[in-house]
Amino acid sequence: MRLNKYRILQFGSILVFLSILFGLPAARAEQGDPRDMLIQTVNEALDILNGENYEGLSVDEKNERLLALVESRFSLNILIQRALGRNWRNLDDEQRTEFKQLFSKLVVQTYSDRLAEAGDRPEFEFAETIELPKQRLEIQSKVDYKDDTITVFYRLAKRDGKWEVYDILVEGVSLLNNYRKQFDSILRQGSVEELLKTLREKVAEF
Amino acid sequence: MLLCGILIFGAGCKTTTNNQASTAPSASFGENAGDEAWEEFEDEVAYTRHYDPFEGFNRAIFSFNDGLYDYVLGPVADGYKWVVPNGVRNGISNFFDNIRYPIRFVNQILQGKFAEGMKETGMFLVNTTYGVVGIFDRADEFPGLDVPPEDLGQTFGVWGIGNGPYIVIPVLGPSTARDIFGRAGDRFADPGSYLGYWQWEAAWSARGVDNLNALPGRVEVYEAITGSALDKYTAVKDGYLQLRKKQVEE
Repeated sequence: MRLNKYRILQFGSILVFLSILFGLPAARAEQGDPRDMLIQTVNEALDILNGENYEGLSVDEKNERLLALVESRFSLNILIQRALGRNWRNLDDEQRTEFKQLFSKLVVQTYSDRLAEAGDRPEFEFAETIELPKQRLEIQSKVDYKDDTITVFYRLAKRDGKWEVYDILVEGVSLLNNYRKQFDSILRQGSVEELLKTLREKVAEF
Repeated sequence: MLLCGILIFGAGCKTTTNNQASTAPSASFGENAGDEAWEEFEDEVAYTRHYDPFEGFNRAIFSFNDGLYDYVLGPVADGYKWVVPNGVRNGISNFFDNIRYPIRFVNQILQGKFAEGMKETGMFLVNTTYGVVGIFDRADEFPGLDVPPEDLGQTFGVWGIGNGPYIVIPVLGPSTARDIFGRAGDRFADPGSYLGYWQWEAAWSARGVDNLNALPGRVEVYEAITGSALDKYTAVKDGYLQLRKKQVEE
């Protein structure tokens, strides 16, 4: 198993090398099994959070790197839009851009905050990948978190050659649905501007 | 386009959005291309329905509970964690979990999950003997016996009874009409309630220890859910309803 994974990685690195050599910028997003890509991303994220090489960085700097890392491999566009659902239509271009920036920041901050709080480098164990209808995938993982084992499922879909992470389920609870209900509730009582203000304050809290 | 707004799932609209997406530049950050793509994923939303007719009242109790967490329960949990080592806390929590075996067993049988009931019994026997009256949880060594816990609220759900209104209970937190009845019914299968008939002091102190010991875990879960929330009340409500839905389904 270990050997097998190593060989896949080796093969992958040759591919990456070749694509750089022949200048195929699109190939990076195209190549690779999404599960391998996710495992690698999670490992690199844990390096940023707990690794020795990053010890001097502030929390803000770490989170910035995490977001850059995630965005270089995956797209969060669908996740962000779905969090607003029907309300997405009520945002103008400028508001959409700001919402995207703030919400993706919030998701990454939440994730890193949890992992940093878990103390030592948490153990991730990636189990099976389930194929959902319409060529969507659910990549299942378990994390040893404090004294418990928590399931984290990532739902992915390929759009325009890039893998979208369109939902994350923690212990079966959809992060997306949880945020959508919150945004729905806030927008029922207030304006888009108020929602953005709440988001700005929340992001600044970390 | 306006029509598309009204008919979210309309087949005619779907092709429009698809065309739009494919002609749009790649969906990279900062651009707002492919902006209606989320609609393709609406078939996935089969999530929770929030029936909350007492929202005003619930929100009031929620903010009381929230303050209680911040100013009382949180500090108490921290103090308890500081005094009682982790291993002891786990032992106490395992002990009480093991003793509540009849609740899980009865509900497994009520849901027709006979194989699970047998496994639960096996787990109870293993933990009671090899696990030293339940202080050690041997589930890791016997993964075959480890089955999801059931309670009466879940049993009602399996029988097709809906949640009913969402209700926030003072101190205890989120629940629904169905789960409140379930909780009350589960008392009949709880050995702790029978202990109360002949030694109520022992029963109450046991309950006190159980609750105090479970507090750090509850505070942690509460903080995890509300820490990243923009509307704490809705985040906890949805988290609770989603979790219960999943528990009923499994």
